[in-house]
Amino acid sequence: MKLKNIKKPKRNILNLIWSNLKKNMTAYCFILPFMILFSVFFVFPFFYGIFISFFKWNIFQPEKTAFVGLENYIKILFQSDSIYFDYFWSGLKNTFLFVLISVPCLIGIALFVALLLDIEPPGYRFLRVVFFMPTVFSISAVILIWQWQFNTNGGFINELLITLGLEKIPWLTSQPWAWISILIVTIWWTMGTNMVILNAGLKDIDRSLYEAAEIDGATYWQSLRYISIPAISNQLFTVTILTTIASFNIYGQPEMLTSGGPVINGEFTTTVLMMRIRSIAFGANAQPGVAASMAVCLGIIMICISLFQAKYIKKLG
Amino acid sequence: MKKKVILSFLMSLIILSGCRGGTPSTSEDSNNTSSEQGKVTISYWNLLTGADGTMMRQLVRNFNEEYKGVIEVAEQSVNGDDYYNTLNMMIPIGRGPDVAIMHSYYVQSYANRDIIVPIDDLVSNSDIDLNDYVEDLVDSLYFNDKLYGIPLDIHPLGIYYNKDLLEQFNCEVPTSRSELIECAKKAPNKDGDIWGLPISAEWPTDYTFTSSLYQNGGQELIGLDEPGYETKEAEEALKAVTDLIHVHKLSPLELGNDQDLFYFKNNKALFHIQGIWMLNSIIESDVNFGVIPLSNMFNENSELIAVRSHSFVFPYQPKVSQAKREAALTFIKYIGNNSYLWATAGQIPASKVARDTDEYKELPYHSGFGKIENFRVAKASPYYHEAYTPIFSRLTYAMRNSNYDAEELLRLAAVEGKKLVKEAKENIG
Amino acid sequence: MKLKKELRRRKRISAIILYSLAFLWMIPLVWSVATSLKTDSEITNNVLGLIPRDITFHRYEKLLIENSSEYPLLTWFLNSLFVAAIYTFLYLFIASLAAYAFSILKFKGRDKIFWFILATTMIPGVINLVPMITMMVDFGWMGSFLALIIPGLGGVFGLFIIRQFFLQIPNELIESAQLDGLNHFGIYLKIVLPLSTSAFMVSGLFVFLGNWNDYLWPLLVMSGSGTSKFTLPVGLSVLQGSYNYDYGLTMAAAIISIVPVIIVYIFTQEKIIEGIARTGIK
Repeated sequence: MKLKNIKKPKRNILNLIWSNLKKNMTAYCFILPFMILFSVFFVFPFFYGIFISFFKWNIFQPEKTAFVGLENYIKILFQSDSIYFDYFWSGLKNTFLFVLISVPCLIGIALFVALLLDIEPPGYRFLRVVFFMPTVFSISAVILIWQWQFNTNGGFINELLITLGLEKIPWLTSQPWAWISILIVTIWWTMGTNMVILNAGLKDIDRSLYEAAEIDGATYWQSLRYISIPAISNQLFTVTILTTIASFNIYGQPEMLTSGGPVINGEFTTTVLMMRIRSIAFGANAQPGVAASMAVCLGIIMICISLFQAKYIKKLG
Repeated sequence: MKKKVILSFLMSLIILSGCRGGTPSTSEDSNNTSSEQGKVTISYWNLLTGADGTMMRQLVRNFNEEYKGVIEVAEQSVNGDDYYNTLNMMIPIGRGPDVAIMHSYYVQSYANRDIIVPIDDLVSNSDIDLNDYVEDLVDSLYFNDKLYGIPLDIHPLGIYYNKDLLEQFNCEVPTSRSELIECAKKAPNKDGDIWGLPISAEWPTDYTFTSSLYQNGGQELIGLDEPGYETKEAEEALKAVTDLIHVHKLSPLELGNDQDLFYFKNNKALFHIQGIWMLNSIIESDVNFGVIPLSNMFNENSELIAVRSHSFVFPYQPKVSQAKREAALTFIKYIGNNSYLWATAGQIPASKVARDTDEYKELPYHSGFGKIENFRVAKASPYYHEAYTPIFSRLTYAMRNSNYDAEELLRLAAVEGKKLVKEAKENIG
Repeated sequence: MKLKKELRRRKRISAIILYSLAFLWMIPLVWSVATSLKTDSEITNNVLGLIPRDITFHRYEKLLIENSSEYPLLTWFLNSLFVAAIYTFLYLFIASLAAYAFSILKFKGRDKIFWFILATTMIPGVINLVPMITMMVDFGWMGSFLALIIPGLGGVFGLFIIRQFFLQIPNELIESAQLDGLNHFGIYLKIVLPLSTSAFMVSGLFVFLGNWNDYLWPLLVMSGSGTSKFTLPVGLSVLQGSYNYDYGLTMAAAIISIVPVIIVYIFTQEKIIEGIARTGIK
């Protein structure tokens, strides 16, 4: 009797799972292919990456791979006599710098253009197509197009400056011009996405609101401040988060445009953390464990900032 | 209707591309499986692109033709930095090639990590005579008294000069630093006009500097693992290079990678420091030019020239096949015997025998790059790369900024070099 | 009356600003095309000219015909097309099946699972990079097109867009189909798919362009494969490395690579812009 009583709930759970499975069989069949791929190529590598970061991972002599606990993290975060400490903090600083300068520009300019488009001047559809076009190009094509515009000797921009009677500027080889060049290319390449999202939000605003406001004598700026901006707070939220994440992941522009330079006081001033992670993971003295720990740190920072933004913007909205 | 047309057009493109994408791999497969009795297929990786890449492809084709049914070489070429990344990833998991090209200054480091294997037995049982090769170079391929590579070529830098422009500015072909500077100063040396000696601050400045370092009595490393450029000699060497830009003003500032080449190819430069590997590209440009060696150009009292070299190495493999090793050796020998062709791609053969042939001696420009006995390869050390590369970015900085502080610059580079060496040592364990 | 006047004034101002901005936006492209068509001497002597004095096509000939064994642009182009097309096709199939379950079917924990999946997009891709390469090596996919096609099939963005569309399908349609005796796969095939061509267009375009333009991943997995298996972005970066002194040539290469994209874009821009606009609506 007693035995039966103990066994019963167990079988019930199994039964429950089984009946649940049977009932939802169709649904599970539908999501199964996606879930398998998602688990294998997103969830698993994520945990695997965290796993690697606790090891001194040796790709050359796998038998020498050893568990080292938090050593990699300590090395990159605190051990100031280690080269990886230098690389991590300098890479992180440069990444942050880029996020700080790029996010306001990418959102501000996109908002500016979206607002102007919302006035619907003649041919605004055509204009929208023009502004959005660069976003469909690949980064390598974008760099090929821009690299020679910035060239110090014989590049388009400097030739223009000389023609206008101005001094030439070493765009890619001195600061702050190297960052400005990267910023210009990034704006040209990616601004269109934000512009379209914001423009769509503005389109959805009921026109009678504006008319009512204007009859009440509101200026353009007032209706902008009290009608348009609050109405597109959702879009602004999305755009801010997307842009921040994209800016943290910056790689191609400095890699191909400035090769991480110019070097000032021994520091590669546009070498962002992603570039360091790549070269440490796969380069001549490959240390995947160190690279993985840097990636995890960057990931934690990105998640924190996104959450903070989410909270802050929600509060404003 | 229109949509349908576009759709079917896209579909046909996709199908077409499917065929294109598919064919190379299937033909490779059939090559591997259909190997007749006794035929050996060896995989061979290199990082040769441009003129030397084209020539290497030609040589492999010739070899496969000659050894049809016996040996087949399957070549794969990877660009630049990615080449070593690829070796790093593939060899440890047993997917490396049977034979590969490697810069000789990397050989020690890769030997130290067991990524490439010693080949003394293989070479001593063959008729390859190491005495045929430049001694300095062969020495640098020994690690812990074991041989790890067979030299293919030597590639130095030289100073290309524009004959027509030299005549226009009434210059003799210079033989020393002072003559070079004197002549280059005769050019207008201003924007939009002809320059004496445009120098890129990015490439190949590391070669240039190393030659200057040798000529001024310095060395890349102290011992095997100490950066050797925290010295007066290195300061002199740095000054000798940057003075050409900042003091003598022979070059525009801020030249990017290969922009100096652009000036020279467009008849806008009297002189141009460039590798022998660009020879064919410059011949193509129909500039009327000659070549002089870097000897005495950074210090009048020294003729030393820093050179680099490609070597054949044998990557680690989980299962060693003697037949493949020997087939690879046959291939290496074949390339050595055909070094004349290799030389035409813009290289100096490493083998004395090849350099002594009449065909080689008749090549018009090769002798201009200097005397073999003045050539010095990189110091043999498993930490060469870690200890020496930090200097390169500082060099770029110094070539761009006239107000650089040489002592501080070199000190900081050495600090970084020491840190990198320490990490590498820890990593290898 | 006054309002109308004010409105006209605004339109004028915005037109002036936007058209000058659009002009700036187009200069890089126009200049690149012009430079790629200029003669060598004109490239140095007439840097600013947006219209070349003498037009030469020799760089395009060099890239597409003479150098096609060393830098096979056409092969790279076809590789990119092949990979992106197969990927897009597979992705749309797999993601739409999942989207069907996440929007029309009802099962326990449905929304929780979906929001969990969506939340993972916040995790930066870098963490996955190192292990993914290790996995590709273990699977033997290094240098294989499989590495460019399969891993991305677990992507979330397209699933999200398709689900948004599926949610708008009226329930009655599904219910009446069920009464007619169709099972869910039948409903998916016969009712939902035909209704969702525009969803497929939109998400397909994004998925396609994302794969077509991907740079870092193909660079990592394909660099050991030999030039014949490069995709266009990887090949272009190699070309740039070898020819960086000849900028007419690199510009011509860039133009060759973007012309097909521009053509596709011009034909589909409405769908693309509509799709992007949708992602902002939450």
